[in-house]
Amino acid sequence: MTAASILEVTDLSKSFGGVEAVRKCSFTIEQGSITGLIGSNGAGKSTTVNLLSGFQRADSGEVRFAGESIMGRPPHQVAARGLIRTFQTAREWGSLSVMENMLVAARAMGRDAAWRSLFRPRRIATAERDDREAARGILADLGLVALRDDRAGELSGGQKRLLEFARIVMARPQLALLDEPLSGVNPVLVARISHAIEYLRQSGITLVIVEHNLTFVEQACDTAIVMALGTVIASGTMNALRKDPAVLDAYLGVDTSALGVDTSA
Amino acid sequence: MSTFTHVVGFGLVTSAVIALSAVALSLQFSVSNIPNFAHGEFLTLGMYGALVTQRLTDNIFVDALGGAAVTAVAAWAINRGIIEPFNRRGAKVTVLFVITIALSLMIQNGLIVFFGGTTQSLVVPSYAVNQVGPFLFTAADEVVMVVAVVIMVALHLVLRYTKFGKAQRAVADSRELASVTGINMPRVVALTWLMAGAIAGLAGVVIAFQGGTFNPLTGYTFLLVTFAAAVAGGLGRPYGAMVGALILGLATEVSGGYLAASYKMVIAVGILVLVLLVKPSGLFGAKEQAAI
Amino acid sequence: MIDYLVSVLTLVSIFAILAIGLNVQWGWTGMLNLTYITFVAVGAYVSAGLDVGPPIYAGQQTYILSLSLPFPVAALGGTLAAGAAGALIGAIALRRLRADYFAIVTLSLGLVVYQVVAQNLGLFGGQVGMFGIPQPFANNLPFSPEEYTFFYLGLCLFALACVYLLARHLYRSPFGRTLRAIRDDEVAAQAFARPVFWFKLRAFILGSLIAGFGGALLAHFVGAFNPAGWTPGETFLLYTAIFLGGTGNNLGAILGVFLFTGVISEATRNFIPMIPGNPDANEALRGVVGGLIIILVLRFRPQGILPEPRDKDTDRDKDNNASASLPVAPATPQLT
Repeated sequence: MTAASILEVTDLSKSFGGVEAVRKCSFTIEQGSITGLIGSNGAGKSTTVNLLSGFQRADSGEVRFAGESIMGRPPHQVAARGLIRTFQTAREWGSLSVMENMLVAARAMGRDAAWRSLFRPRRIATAERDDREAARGILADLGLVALRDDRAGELSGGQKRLLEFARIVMARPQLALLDEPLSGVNPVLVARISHAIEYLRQSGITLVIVEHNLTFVEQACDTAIVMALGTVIASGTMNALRKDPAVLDAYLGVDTSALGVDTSA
Repeated sequence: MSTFTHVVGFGLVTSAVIALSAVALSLQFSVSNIPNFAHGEFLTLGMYGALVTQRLTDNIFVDALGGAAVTAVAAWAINRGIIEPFNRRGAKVTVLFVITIALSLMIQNGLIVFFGGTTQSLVVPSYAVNQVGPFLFTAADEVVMVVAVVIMVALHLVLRYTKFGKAQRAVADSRELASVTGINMPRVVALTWLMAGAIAGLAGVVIAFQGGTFNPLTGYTFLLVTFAAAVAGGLGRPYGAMVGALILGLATEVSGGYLAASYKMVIAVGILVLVLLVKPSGLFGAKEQAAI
Repeated sequence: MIDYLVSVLTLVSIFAILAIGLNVQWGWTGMLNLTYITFVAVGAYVSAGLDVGPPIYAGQQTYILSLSLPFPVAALGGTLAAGAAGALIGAIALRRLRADYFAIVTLSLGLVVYQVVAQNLGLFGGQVGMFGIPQPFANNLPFSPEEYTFFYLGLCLFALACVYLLARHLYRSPFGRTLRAIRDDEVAAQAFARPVFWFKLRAFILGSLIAGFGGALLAHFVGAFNPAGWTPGETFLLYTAIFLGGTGNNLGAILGVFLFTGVISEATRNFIPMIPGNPDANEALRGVVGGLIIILVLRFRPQGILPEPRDKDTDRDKDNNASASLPVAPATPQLT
């Protein structure tokens, strides 16, 4: 364990009714890095994300986040410790305004207790004012500030994705797990999303990105982890992975180490 | 005959009645994915349908069919006119559930407006008592149980061996998948509601037959125990509903023999809550939508 | 005529309080509590038990408590008892259940409570119920019976104003906002560190407290309370009111009650002829109308008459350079 690793996954396993979705999966994430998590469908990526974020319970293994074990903890506790995830579809709070989405996203520990609103109104008002200020800044950086009073449910698909990123910055996690951030996004907007992801990194957030679009992963991520059949089969830079026979085998089903083929989908 | 066999006898008869009702509920849930709060009113419609038919003919079988037919048509109409349009618009489950609650109240009150709130009864042959094994059953009891068994077997045969049955099971598994594979999904759903309505109507007739009197609220009093049986067995699983009905019928009657009668419902609720706490999807696993 | 209006308005203001409480559970948080009336009943019975004296007809009427305490104490006791019931029933019903199962379980548990109360003569008078409930403050104030009705109306209106202001404050607070986020998408709320179970439970308890408070006012208005006034139909009427007036909107809850209970109910009661030989028909007709209203509202205007209040950040933002960019902002065209 190096001093700079923020997430350590060891021998994570999960079965569903006899089918091993995740099988002794192990990897380490360095603080401040952007790591891609790639693999074909059914490789176990989504399950891994669910297991790490607490939405599903692993059968065995160990997960250490920022030095502490988060195995078996419910999702809200994992998030409270600084590990936040997104979902394959943008899950905005539709009837709330964009600004209200940001305010809820701020992990104001305990500030939303009912009694606090009743008995400490001024302290809450001050904290809210600061939050709104910060939120405006983030929304401005992502080009959403003019929409901040609109209901989040009325935004376009691309805008909803950007709102997702804005919420993550607002929540100030240590690590963000992005589950297929490009799914359902117009190809024209991919560049916009890439900039937004870079913005996340510049805000000091370590990123793990699950994606199918390998060109994107190559351009946005420092390194990538490849999963197949529920376990990690290789990791490293995209260049190195491109030449890795195990990776090619898993992706193409062909044993060709001579082919330095770009496996973009 | 001891008290125990006495109450077990009651339990078997009650289970038969609940089974009919719960199976109908499960069938309808399996294709529409909303629990129908107006289900009790389907039972009541069966009773009143039989009552009206009895004004035309004395034949108790025709009367029963009349009750079943009325309910079947009502169920089909409700699905076609209200449930499916809302479903097609992507309404949330809670919204649909609330609509069935509204329907329940409309039907109950509608029946009061048309028939008055007073109790009614069907004319039935006399209640002679026979000895069957260790149990004492009246003719009415025997008819109830025979009808229940016949319907269960018929349902099983239909689901297992007919083209419609296979289509129904496919739709129950997944509406989207079924329509993609060329099944006429709306038609299967409509026919399932028709079938479920007929069974529920028959259950109502059987209740009126066995219990003697009824009023516009009688079906509603069976709603809770029907839900308990269907949910305990796993909503959307007709076979599970049968098992659930057996458990609930026996449990409530056996305990009712030793505790006060009003606590029967408490027992039913207790079983339901217990099953849900231990296995939230019911004993055989309900059709659940993924949380994520 | 005046008596009639005062009476109807008092009832409307009490129901409006009840509707606000139900709105907290359903409109703010999305919880379908089918047995809300049980909590009203708890508030009614406990508050009555606390300030009523020994039974007038000893031997024919039995109940617990009977402490002859002053009304404010009794009302507080009823409110807290309802909150406690909410904590208990909510904790059971909220355990990892999907929304419609939750509704069924609340209904079931409510029916159990109903059975326990209705069957036990010694608890709260069984089917006979409680009666002879004293009028609040009547002994201390020099009002004639007619003047007293105005006083009680004023009391209820004041109570309604307090409950409404409380609800409005909480709705806009971080607490209320989190509840609405949970209603919209509780999975996302969990992903952002919210313990959803505890929030839902707190909302459930808050709604129950308001229900109990309203129940206390109701019992003291009518002077009696028994299981007949405690049916699922009552809960249903409240739902009709908030669906109509605007789910999630506290003013909408009041509007809905006013429209449905005040206007529609009274109109059908007075202007629809009685059907001879069918004494229940008139009331039953109101039930049919109520159900029809819900279905029509849900079909054509699901959010109700008054929409949810919107947060307007642009109004709050006094700084004129709100759209100042930081260096990271990319120079790409705006998204459409």
